[in-house]
This record gives sequence, C-alpha cells and structure tokens, in this order.
Amino acid sequence: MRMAIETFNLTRRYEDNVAVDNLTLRVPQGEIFGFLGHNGAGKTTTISMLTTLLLPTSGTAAIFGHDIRQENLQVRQHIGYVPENVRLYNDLTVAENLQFFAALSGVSAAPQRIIEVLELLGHPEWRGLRVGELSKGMRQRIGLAQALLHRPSILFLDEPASGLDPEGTRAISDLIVWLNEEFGITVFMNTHQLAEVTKLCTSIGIMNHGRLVMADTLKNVLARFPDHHSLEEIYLEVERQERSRA
Amino acid sequence: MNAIALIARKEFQAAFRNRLFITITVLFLAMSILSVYIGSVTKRTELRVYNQTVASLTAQGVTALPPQPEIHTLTILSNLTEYVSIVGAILAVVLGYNALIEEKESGGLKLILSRPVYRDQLLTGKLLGNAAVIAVLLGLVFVFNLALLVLIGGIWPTLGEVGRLLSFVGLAFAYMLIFLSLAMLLSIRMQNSAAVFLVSLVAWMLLSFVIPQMAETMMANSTVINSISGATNQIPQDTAASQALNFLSPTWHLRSMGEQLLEAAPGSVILKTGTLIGHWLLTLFALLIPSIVFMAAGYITFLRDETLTLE
Repeated sequence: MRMAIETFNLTRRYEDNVAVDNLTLRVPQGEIFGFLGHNGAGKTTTISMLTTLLLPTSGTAAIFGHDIRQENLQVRQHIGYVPENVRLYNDLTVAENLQFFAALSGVSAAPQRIIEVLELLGHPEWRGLRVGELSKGMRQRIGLAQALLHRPSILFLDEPASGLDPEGTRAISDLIVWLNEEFGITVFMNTHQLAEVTKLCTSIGIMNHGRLVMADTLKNVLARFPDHHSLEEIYLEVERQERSRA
Repeated sequence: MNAIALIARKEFQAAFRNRLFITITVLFLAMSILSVYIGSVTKRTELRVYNQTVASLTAQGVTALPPQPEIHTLTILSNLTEYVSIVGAILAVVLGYNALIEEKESGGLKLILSRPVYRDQLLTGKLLGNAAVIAVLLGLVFVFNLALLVLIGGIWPTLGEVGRLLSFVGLAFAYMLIFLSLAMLLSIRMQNSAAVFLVSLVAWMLLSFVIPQMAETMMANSTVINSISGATNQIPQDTAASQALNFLSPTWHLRSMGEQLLEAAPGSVILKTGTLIGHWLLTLFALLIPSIVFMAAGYITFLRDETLTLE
C-alpha cells in the first residue's frame, strides 16, 4: 500500500514549548484521515510542517515519498491546502482569485480548469462574484476550489467546517467524500467536529499536548472502546486518560 | 510567467483597486494642478508689475531701468518637492503596509507559500510590484506636470529643464522606495496593521521633520550688522553636527536637491550640469542606503523566521 504521508519523530519546538513531539504517523493513499485534539494540541503545527510552511525542528516527513525539507517544491505539487477561515482576496472575483492561484501552481489552460473546478463544486455561476461579497460557507468552498486547481493527490484541510452553519458543514463534508471517492484524493483534516469525523473519516489520529496518543482506522478505534457509544465519548475518554497519566 | 512576475502583477493591480491609495493619488495630482496654477499666476504677476514699472519709469524719462526678472520655468513646479516629500511618503507607506499585513492577517500568505513559490520570490514580487506602482505614479506626475506647464503656464520647457525634472523624479522614486521598504519591513515584523501604519508614519515624521529641526538647532549663527541702520541679522551656517544630522534625513536630501534642480535659471543649465550630476549622484546614493538597509532587514527576517506567516 502506497503511503500518502509518512512522518518519523517529527518534532517542532517554539523556544521552550514543544508543539509537536516525536510524531510518527503513516497515512495510506486514499484515506480520509481525521486529526483530532484539543486547541493547542499541535494539529495546525503538524499541518504547517506537512504543507512545507514550517520547518521541523527535528525528525522527518514525506508526502508521497517526497521529503518535506529536501523536496518541498515536489511536495507542494502534490498537495492542496485549505487553511482555517480562508479569506482569499476580497476585491477580486472568484475567477480572478482562482486564476492567480492557478498561475502560481503552473496550471496550464487555467480558464478551462477554473470552470471545471467550479462545476465540480456545483457552482459555476460564482465565477464573476467578488470574494468579499461571499458568505463564509461559499468562501470556504472557493478555498477548496483553489486547492483543487492543480489536481493534487492529497488535500490538507484545517478545520474545514469551522464556523459554518449545518448546511454549509454538510456541503463541505459531501464534497470531501465525493472528491475522495471520485478522484481518489487522500484527505488529511484537522477538526473538532466529531460527528462529521464519524461520517467522513476512514481513520483518525488523536493529539494531546503535541503527542500522538492514538492513530488507527475508525473501525478499530470504535472496536477498542466497546463500552462507548460515540466517537465523542471515546475522544473524551482518551483525553481523560491522558490527563490522569500526566 | 514566473512566480515573481505573477506576484508583482497582482500587487500592481491590487494597488489600483485600493481606495485609500487612489484617493491620495488623486489628491496628489490635484495639488499639482493647483501648484502649477498658483506658480504661473505668480510669475505672470511679477512680469506684469515689472512691465508696469518699466512703462512708468520710461514715461518719467528714466533711462536706467531695473533688470527684467528672470523667469525660472521650473520654479513653477518647485512645490513638487514638498508634495513628494509629504504625500509621496504617505503613498509609499500605504503601499508597503498593504503589501503584507493584510495577507498575513487573512492567511493569504499561507496559501501562496503552499504553492511552488519560495519565500524570497514572494517578497521580491511584492517589492517589484509596488516599486512599479511608484514608478508609474511618478511617471504620471512627470507627464502631468510637463503638460500643466504648457497648458496652464503657457511655457514650453527646454530639453535641459525636462532633464532636470526627470532627475528630480528619479530621486523621488528612490525617496519613496525608502518608505515602501520601511513599511514592508514593519509589516513583516509586526502583527497589527494599525500599528504598522502608525509606526511607519512616526518614522517618516522623525526622518522628515524631527531630524532636520534638530540639525537646525545645531547650526552656528553668524551675526551681520547693517552698517547704515545698525540692525543685526543672524545668518545660520552649517556645522559638522548639523550636516551629519541632515545626512540622516532623506527628506532633507530630497528637498535640498529638489531646490537645486527645480529652481535653477534656464541659462545656467549647461554651466551647472557637471556639478549638478555630481550632487545628484551623491543624493541618489544617500537616498538608496536606507532602502537597501530596510530591504535587507526585511529579507533576512522573512527568510529566517518562517513562523511569521503562520501567526
């Protein structure tokens, strides 16, 4: 099985604070991986390292076999990234924003690809709208569109449904599943929305104070805690165990 | 198109969509019209008064007539020095402050840097894009002022005068680059957009007003006594300390050289060309030093600390 993400002892320190502590993780191609953890657990720092925005203090990581330090340009060609609360450029239209990011990624036939991607989202009519006029949910979907322009093999989503209403959350979730099933895109997402994780994800990892305390398929995780009825209960139980261990 | 050119183009387009920038630019050009108009009216009045005086003296049979006042064409544009040193600096601050802080706050930098773009390419693109905006703006000011000189002033400038105006525009570009690079450096270092804008303006005031005023206080005064009336006059003279302080003020450099370039008589152009070129090169050098320092500091900070884009 080909690994989309492989990390070994990946560590990031900010002065005395260890944000990510010896993270060793393998995410196979084609998974939808939910990365869980409390605020400040190290999820965003991990995504930042895997998307080459941040250099690790120590350890290694590879995306489809490309080292994030040595081959960062190859890594960036493989990945699509949607940060939390994506805002893009408010004074530009959707098409102009997508044109800019397509050009940065070296996408050929960009105008045609922009139409394709907006059609994938089911909203080709958004093309001429100014981003500043869009709702948060619409902007989040345009953020996803910009991440898809160069046909990435893996999507990194940081709290994709953060602040969205139930309808917006559902639309994003459906899109993620569809992209995974239709195009085989691996998805790595940070999230707090445990109900969505149960519906979407094939495997999960739980971070606690920079350390990965659990990583497995969702099926195995649920089987490991037969007395707990939901992922939320399991998550809280893991957090409780970690607190008592500390 | 490579990443630098793409980012530069986006910056260039973004500047002309920025309402604050457009408002200040329009104000700048409107001030030019007013300035040329006032300058032209003043010159015409001087000439009219002279002609009236000559006519009156001739009618009285006086043969020793006063010399005709010299019409220094570029003097009409001399207020440009003031406008560039004030409005130009503010425009450059607006451009520099917008270049990074907004994207830092919105997370836009993360999106760009998750693409095949290096951090130095991003910064270079932003710098070039905004420098191009300044160049276009000053080009516009140059053409606009020449046109005003002809249309309002009714004066066709000589080639030498066009050259002087162009030399001034070159210095204005170097001057505005200082405040662009300073605001960009601050927007790299600081987290709050309002703070970046305020600190940039305070730095501009310090360099433009405080330092020259301090230099003025360090000048030596020589006393001259009027032999007829017995009145005494204080004439300030440069000292080593005042010169050293003024050297630190880009505004002082721009104004001093601007006065030399824009207030000279047309007849003296050829005579003074050699000296002027020497002074111009020295001024250009003095104006480029701060930009180079600010840019270098910006690159070092931006390349070294990758967490700056993640906050």
